[in-house]
Amino acid sequence: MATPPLPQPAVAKKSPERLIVAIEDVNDLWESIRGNLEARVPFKKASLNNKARNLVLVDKLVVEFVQTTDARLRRGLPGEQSLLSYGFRRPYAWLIVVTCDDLDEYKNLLKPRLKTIVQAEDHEWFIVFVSKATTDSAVKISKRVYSRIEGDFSSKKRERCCKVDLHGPDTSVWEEIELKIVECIRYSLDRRVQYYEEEVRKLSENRFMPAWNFCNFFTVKESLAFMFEMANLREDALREYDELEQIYSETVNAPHANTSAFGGLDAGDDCAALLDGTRKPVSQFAADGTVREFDFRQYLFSRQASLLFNLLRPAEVSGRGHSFIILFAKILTQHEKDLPFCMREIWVITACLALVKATSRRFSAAIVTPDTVKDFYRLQGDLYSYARTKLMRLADLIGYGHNIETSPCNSAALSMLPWPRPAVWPALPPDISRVQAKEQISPPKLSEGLGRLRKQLSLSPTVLLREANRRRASLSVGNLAEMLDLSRLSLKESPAADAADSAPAPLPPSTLPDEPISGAHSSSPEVLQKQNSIEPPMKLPEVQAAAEHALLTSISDETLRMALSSVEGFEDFFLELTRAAADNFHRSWRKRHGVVLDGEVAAVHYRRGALDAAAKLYEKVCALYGSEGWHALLVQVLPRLSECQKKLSDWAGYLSSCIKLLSLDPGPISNEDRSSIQAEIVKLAHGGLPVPVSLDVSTLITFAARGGPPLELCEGDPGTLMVTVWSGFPDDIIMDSLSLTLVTTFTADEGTKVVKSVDAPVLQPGKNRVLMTLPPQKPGSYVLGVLTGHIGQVKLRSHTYCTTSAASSKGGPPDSDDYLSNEKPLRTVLEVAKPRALVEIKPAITKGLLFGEPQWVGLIVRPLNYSLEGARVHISTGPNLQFLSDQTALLEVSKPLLAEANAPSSTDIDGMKTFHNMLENGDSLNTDDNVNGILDYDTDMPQHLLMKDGSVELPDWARMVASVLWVQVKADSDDTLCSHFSGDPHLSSPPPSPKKVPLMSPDSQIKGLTTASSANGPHATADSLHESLQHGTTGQGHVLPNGSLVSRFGMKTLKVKMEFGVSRSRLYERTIALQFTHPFRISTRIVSRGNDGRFLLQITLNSQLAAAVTIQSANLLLQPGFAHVNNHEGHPTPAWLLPLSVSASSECALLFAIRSDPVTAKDGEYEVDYHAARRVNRSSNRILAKYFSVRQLSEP
Amino acid sequence: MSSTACFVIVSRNDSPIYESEVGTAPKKDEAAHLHQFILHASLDIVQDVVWNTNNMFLKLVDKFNDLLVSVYVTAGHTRLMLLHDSRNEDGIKNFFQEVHELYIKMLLNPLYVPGSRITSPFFDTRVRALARKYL
Repeated sequence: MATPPLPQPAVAKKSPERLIVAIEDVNDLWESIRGNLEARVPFKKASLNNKARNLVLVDKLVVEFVQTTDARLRRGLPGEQSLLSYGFRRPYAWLIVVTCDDLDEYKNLLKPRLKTIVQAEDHEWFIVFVSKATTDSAVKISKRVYSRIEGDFSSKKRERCCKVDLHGPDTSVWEEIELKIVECIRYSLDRRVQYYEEEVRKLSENRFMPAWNFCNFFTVKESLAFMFEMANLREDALREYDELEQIYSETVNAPHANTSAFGGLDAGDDCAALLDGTRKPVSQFAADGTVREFDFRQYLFSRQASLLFNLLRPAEVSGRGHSFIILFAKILTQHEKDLPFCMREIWVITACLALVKATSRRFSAAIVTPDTVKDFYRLQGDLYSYARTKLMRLADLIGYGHNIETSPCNSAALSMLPWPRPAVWPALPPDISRVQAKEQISPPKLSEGLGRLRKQLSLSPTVLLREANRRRASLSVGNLAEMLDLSRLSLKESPAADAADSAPAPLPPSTLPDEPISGAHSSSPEVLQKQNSIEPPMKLPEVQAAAEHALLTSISDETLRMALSSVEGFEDFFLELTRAAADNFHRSWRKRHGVVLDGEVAAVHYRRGALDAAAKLYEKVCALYGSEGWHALLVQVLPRLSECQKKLSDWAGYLSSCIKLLSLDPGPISNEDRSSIQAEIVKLAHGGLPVPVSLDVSTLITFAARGGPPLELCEGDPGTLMVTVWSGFPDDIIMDSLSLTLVTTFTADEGTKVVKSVDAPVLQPGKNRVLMTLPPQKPGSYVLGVLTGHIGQVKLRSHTYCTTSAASSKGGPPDSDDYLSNEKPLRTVLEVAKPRALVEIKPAITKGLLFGEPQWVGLIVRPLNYSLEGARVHISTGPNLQFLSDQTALLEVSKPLLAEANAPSSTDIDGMKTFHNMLENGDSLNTDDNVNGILDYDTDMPQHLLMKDGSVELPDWARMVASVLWVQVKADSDDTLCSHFSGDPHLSSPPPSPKKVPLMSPDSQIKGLTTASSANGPHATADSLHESLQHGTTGQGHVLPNGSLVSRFGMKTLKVKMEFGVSRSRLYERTIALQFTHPFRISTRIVSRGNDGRFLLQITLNSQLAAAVTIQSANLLLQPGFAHVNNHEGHPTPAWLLPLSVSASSECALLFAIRSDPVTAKDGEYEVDYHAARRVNRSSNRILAKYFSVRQLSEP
Repeated sequence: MSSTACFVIVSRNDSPIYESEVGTAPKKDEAAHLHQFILHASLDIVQDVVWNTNNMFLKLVDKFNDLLVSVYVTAGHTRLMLLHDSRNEDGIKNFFQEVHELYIKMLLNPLYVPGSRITSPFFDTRVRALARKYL
């Protein structure tokens, strides 16, 4: 069977080599066992020693069986070629296949031959004895021969023989052979590794000798690496390459390194070969003795990469590749002058793409840790964005700069990256059409609308024109004068300075958005004129055309050439790279990198008119910058987003972008711009919006309630709420209306209430006060919710409720980063109390009022922590109680003393105290404007109030303080209504009275009463009434048929109705019972009876009054049948008894002498009508008074 | 030799609360933009690095062309970020530590709400002085 030719060394490096096992086929038996052996390849469990002499289990050890007769092996025999370079390819094991079925034959022929083979060379061998015996005798003989072989060749240390029975059933022998082969390989490998390592050690020791040649070192080292790779010890192989790379770098960077050619000048070199180790015959370097750095470094990397790929570590390739590309790009920069135009950029782009392609094809996220996955995608993203940057540089160079967005991302990448610096700038292409095409490129239109807010960023480190002209062939020939001119042209001549400082000194920086077209023509004409005398300098289109021509002719990578040959191609390629970079960054959790690149994708979409896609991506970018508060960056993107939204008629989005622009830090946007944005919003709001739009202006408008305690309202009361609104708009903004939601706290139901402002407000920039009308609310605590303003079709919502006025006074949003608590404390602005009693009206006196006399009735009106402002008291009377509906009532402050006397509740006293405290502090709720009014009134003087139709309005001062309203009533004694008290009718205490009753005409008061009583009182005659007018008090009594005369008590009712609260919406009604009584309890007794029908009648008067009274006169009216003795007119006997002073609650008696008068008598029945009129002795004043004060009681 | 440096304090919720260009290089309008862009992007890397070390000073975390980003993270996860082109690591460390002290003093101010923008001119002056001293 034909054996494949052993590959040529140079070619062999292409494919992984296999370990060779040599077959010494002595008896032509190889073919019979070959199938069985080759079936076991690759060996499953081979244990080999690695470089550190540790046993390593190698799975899939691939070996190749080659017969010694093969031409390849013969060439590889020792001595024929360099041991160093090819030694590792020699067979690692020798398999000697023999058979023999005769002892003599063995002894005479085979044994000597085997001895020769075994001793011929220092190699690892073992003998496979193949037995073809089928009969028992033959088997016996072969066994005997085999034992002889074993005895001759095997030692105790090492078994070197094994026997294969071709016809036997045992198959385990093949496994034994495999083990033996592996053993041989292991021994050979160890020996060879040791040998090579020794060589490497020797060579590296001499590294600093002048005659040392890296190529030799490389050959040895790489041989070692190959050997490891063949033995599947790839880790060790990789380590060899790593060491090789390190030593190479040291060699190259050594100060006295002989500078051989860098390379990179061959055709196709611009296309990176970092993963393709076969492009250049590297062994050729070794042969030539020169190593070209450009090729060699790429070759080394490709070897490392392929080993890593075989080790299933594509992520590591990615990582190493990234740093390799960066390092290599730096090396290329150092040699830029010797390399073709823009070689570095092209190489980086191709290298990045090749690396990304190769690694992502082999990468599987399933078999590595999440961190590795993250890292891998990060590297892919980095590679893509690196390629993208270089692509932008090339595009900018050939005049596609207008198609590159001047975003911070691109600007940062490009303006810090120097222009290419070839030794000579490429010359103009022969065809002028290219130049004309470049001339026709119009500069980008200046953005309209909000786009002008974006800062114009530079995309170039310096002016390309200057950079190019400096390197013109004709100028760089060494003309000293021109050099001076140029150095004058640019003060920053050195490349380092160029990189550090991108501001071109002679050019106005404002003209440099990207390509300095205008700047180029206007810049330093005098300098250009000087150059004119030698050769006209290239104009920018010419520079670009020249660059384009040079690039398109030199680029060997088809994709890149397509990308650079047209604007569309560039944009496509650019978009692809950007998108891929963004995707990978997103996958690696680098959201900021990803989102920024999304913005770049959006820019391309925008330019191509795919506004929808652009807006979506821009929104992402804006959301990122906005949420993190990087306003300087946001202002670069937001205007573009708003342009998209405007063009898409996404008015809600557009307006909200405008709002966001307004709410940015004032720095990046001028005041005029802010004003114009506001004008735009207002214009749109008042027309042009198809549907109403709701905008969140929380960042722009903030609001807060007044400081201090919350406004307290009673349930059902309307009110007003003062809200402070901070407007961040640059100018006044006129709202159609402003409303605010109030949110109840601690209640799940009954969500929010909307309250509106009193009038349509104009919000000025900064602080505004807005008054909100509160309709009657349900009980509960309320906090501020959402402020909503309406302008035309636009609804502005603000959720930002300021907790601290310090934060809001700046106009900015309050800080959301609260270190201590996540929840902002909600401040209650409104407390609506639960329904409760708001006012109480009690009578000051209920008992001891006298019948038939005008009596002052006091009503204590006590507000219970509620203002009685504007309250009206309406009084009406029950039956038999006369009340003058138009009278002058008196109102005085209810003093605590009086309140105590009337057994007030403690809360009332508290209320009073609070009120007095409030008076003293002058700090009361809702009363600040009326404080003076309260303090004005004279607490000693009751105030006269004019009552109309039974109604009286309480004055202002009485709204928070308990007061007593005195009104006059008069009760008639009526039999039907009289009730008889069985209890003690004793008066408990004297009724209070207005302290200083102002002087007034008694007649005016009583006259009305008189007429009223004359109509109602059936028992009062005109005389007696007149008497009562005279004497002031009238008492009436009846003597009951049983002879005892008792006084009568009557309950009368007084209905009090009070309207109070805001717009008198609340009503308080109470019926007050008043107990009226007669002044005396009267009883009669006949003291003595004469025979003549005369008798002496004693009338006992039991005073019911709590004060002393003087009875001025008394007369007894008799029924017919009785007559006074002595024909008196009914005066008591003796007459001097009168006037009689009766002290309080005491008894007195009057005697009357009467006789029966037969003329008028009726059969034994009699009735005494008693009428007593007394004049009350009032020493203090002489007016009519119905009550006796405590003070009067103590008077003598 | 002029140096470029841009110092930014980034609050816990990633928003910049203090910015200053502390380099000696001539001021350029657009440079501030670019510096902010670079610093903002490197927040991505900081969030990875910050959990891998116990130190507050994270040293170099990012590179952008010739510019380097060094970061110092306080216990409250406020990040002091410096964009610089010099490689004076000790100086930067000292600078960070002293600014951290200043920042803590700032936090002690009851009128300063943590996480809001630092507007104190005193703070600004002190930071610039420190930058001159150490950078």
